[in-house]
Amino acid sequence: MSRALLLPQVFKIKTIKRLTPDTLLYEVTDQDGNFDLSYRPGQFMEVSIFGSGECPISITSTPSRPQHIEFAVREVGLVSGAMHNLEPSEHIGLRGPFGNGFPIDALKGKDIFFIAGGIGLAPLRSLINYMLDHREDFGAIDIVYGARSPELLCFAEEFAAWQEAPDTRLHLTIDKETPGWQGKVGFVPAIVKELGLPPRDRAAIACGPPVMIKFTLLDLAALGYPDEDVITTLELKMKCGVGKCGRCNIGPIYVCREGPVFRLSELNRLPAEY
Amino acid sequence: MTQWQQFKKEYLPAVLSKLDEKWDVFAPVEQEDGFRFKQMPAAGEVFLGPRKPLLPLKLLFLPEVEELFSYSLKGVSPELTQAVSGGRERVIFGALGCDIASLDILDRVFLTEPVDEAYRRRGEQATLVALACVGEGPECFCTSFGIDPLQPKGADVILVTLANDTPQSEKKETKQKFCGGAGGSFPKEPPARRRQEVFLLKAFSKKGKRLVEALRPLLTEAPQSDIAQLTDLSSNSRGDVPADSLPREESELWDLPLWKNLASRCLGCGVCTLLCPTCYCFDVEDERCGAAGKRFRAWDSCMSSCFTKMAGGDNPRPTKVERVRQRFLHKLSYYPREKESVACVGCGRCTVHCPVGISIEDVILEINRFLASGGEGGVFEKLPPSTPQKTFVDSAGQVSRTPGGKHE
Ligand SMILES: Cc1cc2nc3c(=O)[nH]c(=O)nc-3n(C[C@H](O)[C@H](O)[C@H](O)COP(=O)(O)OP(=O)(O)OC[C@H]3O[C@@H](n4cnc5c(N)ncnc54)[C@H](O)[C@@H]3O)c2cc1C
Ligand code: SF4
Ligand code: SF4
Ligand code: FES
Repeated sequence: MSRALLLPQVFKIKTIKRLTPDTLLYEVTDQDGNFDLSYRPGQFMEVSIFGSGECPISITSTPSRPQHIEFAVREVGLVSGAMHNLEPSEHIGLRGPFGNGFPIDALKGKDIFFIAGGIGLAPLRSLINYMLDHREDFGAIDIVYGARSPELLCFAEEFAAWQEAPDTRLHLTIDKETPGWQGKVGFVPAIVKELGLPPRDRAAIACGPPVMIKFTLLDLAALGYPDEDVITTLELKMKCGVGKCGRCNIGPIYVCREGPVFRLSELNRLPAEY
Repeated sequence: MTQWQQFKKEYLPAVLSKLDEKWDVFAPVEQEDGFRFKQMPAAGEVFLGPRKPLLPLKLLFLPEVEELFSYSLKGVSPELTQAVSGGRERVIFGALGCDIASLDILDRVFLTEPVDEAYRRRGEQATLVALACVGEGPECFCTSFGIDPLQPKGADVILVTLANDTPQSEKKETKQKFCGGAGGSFPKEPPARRRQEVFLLKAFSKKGKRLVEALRPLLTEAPQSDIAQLTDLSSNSRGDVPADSLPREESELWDLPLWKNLASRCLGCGVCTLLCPTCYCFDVEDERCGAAGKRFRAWDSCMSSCFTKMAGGDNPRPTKVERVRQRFLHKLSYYPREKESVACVGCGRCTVHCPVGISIEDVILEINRFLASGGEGGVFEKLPPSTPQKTFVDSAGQVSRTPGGKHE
């Protein structure tokens, strides 16, 4: 009998690390201690906490490091809250991977401009680490990452590795001046503008809170980025993840199926209902 | 046995109990809580006539609430037990054409990859006995969607009631004629007066043949005089609602003044979507009791204010304007673009039961009128607050155009 559509598989939590006061990083394995699952950066899974429910979470690990799979989860409600109460060696359910993922082949050979705010770094981290593991396939990499304050920056442990990677620059920013802070100060869109990286042969990939995205897109347009070269991921309420429950549509498309990664040129063809 | 067979009305109990030997039988019955499909109905309560059960047929394929799996949290790791929709095959006896056609619309969602196995199995296990619908409900416009209420596509068996003592020639002018299906036309004979009520039935699929075969001891070949009467059957479903002529690009339909007008009246109760045989949105939730629990899915409605509301409060459809537009554009634009069919079968349930008289038929007509007039005037702005298309349901469940009145 084929597997029921909405039936998750049980996996074990191997480690839990605190990324920020409200965000934890979960490393998940199957019973044999590894994780046999193929996925693409930018895809997501439906994560189950039995007794509370299910919610869509981006895969933040990269398939180029196949020994584990990781999720960064911010506590915001019922399921994410229940997940924060779990301990290592407890279990979660997973369905997926779902969604289209980033257009990796189309990005090959290009310079890449990552722009992230807060938990929005989670899906981008998958692609960043993938690109660093296939460094020769991609051009220069610039990463602008911002949060309100230094302790709200996720994945701080990895910043050094990103900065040291060849032809890769990390531009960290926080909203307000804080004692001891070495990076930039200001909102993410302002830093994008300040850097002024020219669009020639460069794709911009942005993920973060709606206001950040809104202003970043305006600044990228002002810098002359064509809409085909601006990529973002969308977050809409989801239930099934497979285009059946009718929850996540924007006009004729379902974000869980055709998304969550879109080029701005594709979004422009959709009604502005997201 | 692909010829028309017949049995007398008094044989209905025997027919149902014969079917019950092999199948779980569902049929429409009148109960204290309304007219609805019921499993194992007593023959006396089965009503076979041109009347729609309140809840559509979809509930036997996509149940209102459906357990997906249960789990136990007692052991080291959670143990999941998949819900099995097993049991005997089913016969759905006396379903109407609109409801049968709605299954095709659901199929295009649940049978495309990734296939919903539970839904697929229910379809595979169901034999549909359609009742040729000679209904004249004022709300009916199934024929506008190419549905043949007398002989709906997708039915395994067609069942026809031949009424008592009705001079067939007095029938009104018809819009839909019984054409006899695969077998071509029927020989014409002068209409006869019936003494006795009989059911005629004929198989239209392999499953249907199996069912008719099982009933063989109770059936006799239908006489030519009865078969001849089939050509006179007709339905009054209105076939002129122009749903197919609407543009499918949502950009042309996005900013219609109509949406605001509808939103100002709509209560957001969701009745229209829950009663709609083609609406399929569902919610998925957990229910836990101690160390055990289950996950289920349940019908949900895009008209609900929290349907798209996310953790933190962001909502891409914050007002009824967006939600009303979603409901109609899904049926008339998004679904048709992907699935090559309008997601409405013209059953009229939404119109009959909307507490403020919002009618999808009016909406289709008004959009057409608006577009034809080159976008002149606000759609609906000239109509009184309660639309003249309002229908009424009396205490016996009869639908009419005037309060307490019989429909003409
Ligand atoms: C493609 C995608 C990727 C995501 N990746 C991440 C990630 O990597 N890390 C992270 O912390 N969050 C991520 N989110 C957001 C995350 O799904 C929500 O924060 C989460 O669903 C909230 O669930 P809850 O039960 O805690 O909140 P509640 O408000 O109790 O939500 C109840 C249910 O509604 C649905 N729901 C509510 N809000 C959202 C939402 N914003 N998006 C989707 N479904 C929602 C879920 O099914 C949820 O179980 C992602 C969302 C999407 C759509
Ligand atoms: S939209 Fe209304 S008329 Fe059309 S199928 Fe649904 S309930 Fe019936
Ligand atoms: S039944 Fe009528 S009032 Fe209720 S949600 Fe539907 S359109 Fe609105
Ligand atoms: S989450 Fe169910 S359709 Fe997208």
